[in-house]
Amino acid sequence: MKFLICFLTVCCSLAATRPADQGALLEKAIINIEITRRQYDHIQPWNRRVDQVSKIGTLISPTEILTTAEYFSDQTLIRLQKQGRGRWFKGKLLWADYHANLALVTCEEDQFWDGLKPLSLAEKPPRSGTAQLARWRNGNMEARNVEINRYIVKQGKITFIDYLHLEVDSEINGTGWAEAIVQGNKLIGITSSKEESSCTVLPSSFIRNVLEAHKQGDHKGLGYFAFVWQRSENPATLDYFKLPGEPRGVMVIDVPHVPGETNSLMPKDIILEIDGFSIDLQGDYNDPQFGNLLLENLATRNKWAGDKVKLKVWRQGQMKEVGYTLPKAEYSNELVPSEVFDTAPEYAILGGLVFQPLTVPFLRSWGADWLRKAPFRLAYSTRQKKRPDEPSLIMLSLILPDPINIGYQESRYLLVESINGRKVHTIGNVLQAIEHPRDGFHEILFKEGDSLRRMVLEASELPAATQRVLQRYGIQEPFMVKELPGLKTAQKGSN
Amino acid sequence: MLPVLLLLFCLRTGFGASPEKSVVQITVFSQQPVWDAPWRFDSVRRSSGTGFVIKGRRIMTNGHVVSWGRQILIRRYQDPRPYAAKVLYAAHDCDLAILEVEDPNFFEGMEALEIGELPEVRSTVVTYGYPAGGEQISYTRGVVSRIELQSYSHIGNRAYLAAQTDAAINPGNSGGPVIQEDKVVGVAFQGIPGLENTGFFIPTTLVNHFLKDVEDGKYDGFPQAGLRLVALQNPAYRKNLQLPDNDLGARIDHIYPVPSSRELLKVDDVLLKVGPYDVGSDGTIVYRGNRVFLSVAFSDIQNGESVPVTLWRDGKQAEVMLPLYTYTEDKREGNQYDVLPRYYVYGGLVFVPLTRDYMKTFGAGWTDSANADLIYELFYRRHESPATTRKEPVVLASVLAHAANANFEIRGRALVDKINGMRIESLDDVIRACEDPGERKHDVIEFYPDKTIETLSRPEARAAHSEILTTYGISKDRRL
Repeated sequence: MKFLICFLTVCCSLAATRPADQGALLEKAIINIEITRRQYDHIQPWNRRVDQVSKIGTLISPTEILTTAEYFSDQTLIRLQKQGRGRWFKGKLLWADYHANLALVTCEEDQFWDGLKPLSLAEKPPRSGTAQLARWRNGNMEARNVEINRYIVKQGKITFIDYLHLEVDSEINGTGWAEAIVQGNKLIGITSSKEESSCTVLPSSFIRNVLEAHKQGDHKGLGYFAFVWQRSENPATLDYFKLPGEPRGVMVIDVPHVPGETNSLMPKDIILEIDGFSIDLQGDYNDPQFGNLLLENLATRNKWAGDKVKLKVWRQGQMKEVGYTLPKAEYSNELVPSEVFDTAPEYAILGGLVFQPLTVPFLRSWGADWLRKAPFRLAYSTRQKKRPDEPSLIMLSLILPDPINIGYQESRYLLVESINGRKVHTIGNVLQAIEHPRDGFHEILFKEGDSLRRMVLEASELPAATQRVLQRYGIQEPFMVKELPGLKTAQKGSN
Repeated sequence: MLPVLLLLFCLRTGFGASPEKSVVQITVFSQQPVWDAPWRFDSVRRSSGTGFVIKGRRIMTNGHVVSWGRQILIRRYQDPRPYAAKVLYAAHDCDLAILEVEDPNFFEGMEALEIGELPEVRSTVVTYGYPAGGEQISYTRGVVSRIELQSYSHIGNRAYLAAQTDAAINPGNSGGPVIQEDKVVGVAFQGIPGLENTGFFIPTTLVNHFLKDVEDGKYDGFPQAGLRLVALQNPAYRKNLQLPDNDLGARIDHIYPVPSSRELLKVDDVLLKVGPYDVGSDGTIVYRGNRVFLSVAFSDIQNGESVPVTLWRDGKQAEVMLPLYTYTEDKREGNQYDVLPRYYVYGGLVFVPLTRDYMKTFGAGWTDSANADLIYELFYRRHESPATTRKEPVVLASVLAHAANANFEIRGRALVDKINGMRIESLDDVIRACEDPGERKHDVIEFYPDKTIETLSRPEARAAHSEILTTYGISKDRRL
């Protein structure tokens, strides 16, 4: 009987829109998007170039095109093309949330909207069956079948947090560029990536929640669970912690410092429930819509940054109810930010010494395999957690040879501890510290390690040397910095 | 045939002697332990190298020729009979070893080769050895291309003086003498993959250091000052230290925990002279005609001896007699030989110390493929965070599957932080924590840096212990 019901459901769904009708709907809703964007050479951060990316958007309201947020950072020009051919129109980014990987684009020319008709987002995306992946291909609409595989909670494409994704099986090449996944006349998701024969899709339920919050003007951003937990499949561990009843729950093993988080959890708490959902030994809860999902989904399931989540935990032999305020997903929550968007890379050049924040975009200069190829000590920093006394890392990334830095010129990739006795965590700190030489010298102290610990520069010679370096190496600005609190002489570079 | 004969003729007339009679072929059957299952051994390997007779009826060769040797056989020049030998001294830090032959007749008719001086760059040398590709002795002539500090790959974490030559040094040449004017001026030892026509030999300064070291019947090794020395060529830094603007002086950037150095020296002291050698501002000295890194000056000194150091401190010159000792704090970062690895098995959990040898169980490209936390712990932590550095970090190498540990989720390659609340500083602590006589139902093991917790039922682990050892063919649950 169960099989029969499923069969009828699929038939009804497919019968709702005939292939010809669906093709016409798609042709009116699928948009080609071309993005021109600034790109930076993170090894020489003053160098920039421009590249172009093409992707797909789907019209979801009379004047809004939905796509993924990826590649909209540092955009300088957006162009839109309807019906897969013909004239390009100038587009405009209305909104983007990089952590959710969602963006809305519009066009200010009325002519663009002629002949277009939005697709509506499915309220409840299907859990199984066949759907169509739709995109423009050489001027023709390509709508090919994909198989709905599973719902999974995993890390977003351009964030460090986990949330709900849909995986569909597809052999179609070159996908993962925000192609529409449709079933009948409904948009059930947009693709965010592809690996081998599996496409990762942002499902419509997730998209709807984020867009509705955005529309209501109270989108506070995605929150997440910053604590680290382990599965409890070893019954001896639960026995040791004297958890009564059936084995269940997961154990908190680390509660790293995150700005703004109400730190109510403790290591060795066993989480038994989150917002009333029981947590099993693997860390899953039973989602009424999608079945077993990883508990991380409860941080984004109708919840936003700053919202409180109720947890039932077993702590030191007692059942406790604790609240957990969801920290906002911010790249700056990481010691080494995994992304830096919509800002030129920060740097400061002082007498040829180039200082930069350590970021993953910098490490990607070593290619896709940067975790192995980049200098070990820098790459290993991405595994370390931010601490109140170490919120971020500044490195000496390069030395542009000049007489002032003779003797140091082989040094690079050194993490800076202090300059002139002042702790350095930002480029702003570097520029502030350099205003306070000691006895006529600048002293740069690097973090303890297996490489050089100290450099000294003559303070009176530094300004002239910096100018000399800028001129010799064709660099326009001595620094690029986001914030310069209380700085007397420095100026913000142009972006 | 003619070219070979000519060569032999040249050699004999050129040197007026027959060093080849004092050069021997060494065949070694070796067997290494399996570092993540340390009660087991790899299969027996056969390899060959070269050696030569030195004073005292002994044979010198490379450390790597005889390491982990189960049987060492030596063949004399054009003599079919193999003679059994054993290692008298092994200096794995500088890749040298001295062998003795049990049969007293072995040395009959053989003369000890005389140890000469450091050869000059551009001078001609001849290597004698038994390289792969034939059974007879081989001679190759080459020029000493340069003499400078080189990493010694046998130990992996030491650098000493080495001479580079374009004389072919191939597998099997190892341990053979490099000869100039009838005297040994070096011991062939390593090449660099990808560099053609380049071989390296250990100069006699190191050979003599080794021979002097073992005069008291034991090998101590090369002492270390424990200093990170850097060039001092930046005018501002020199001015900051009130140092004359000349070509002298290397700055102490860091002092490792070597008590004598920490007591007598300070960071930012500038070394002007070490022993008889003036120190250049690029951190080099002129050592017997070669400009080499300053650390070479310390390698002339024997363990426990002192070296006079002239230094610049607080704007004036000072003299210090600096005692030097062998440094073992970084021993686990280097390859170790001939000492079987430590381990402890408890409830099927295999604990081993974290060492470079253990890291090699990740495979040939272990520096790329190994767990980054293990790499950091082994090579970086002592530099960055001395206060949190453990004496002997311990790894849960593997879990020998059994019902008693079947629910243990971590199956190996994890650093052990605590057991039953005790911080684990060494393998001995693991044993203490697991074997404490207290009445406890569980053994709780915490790992780092991710703080994972795992638990064993103590009664089950103890009950299963013998059965696990029997099942996996482990005769003893520990080697300490």
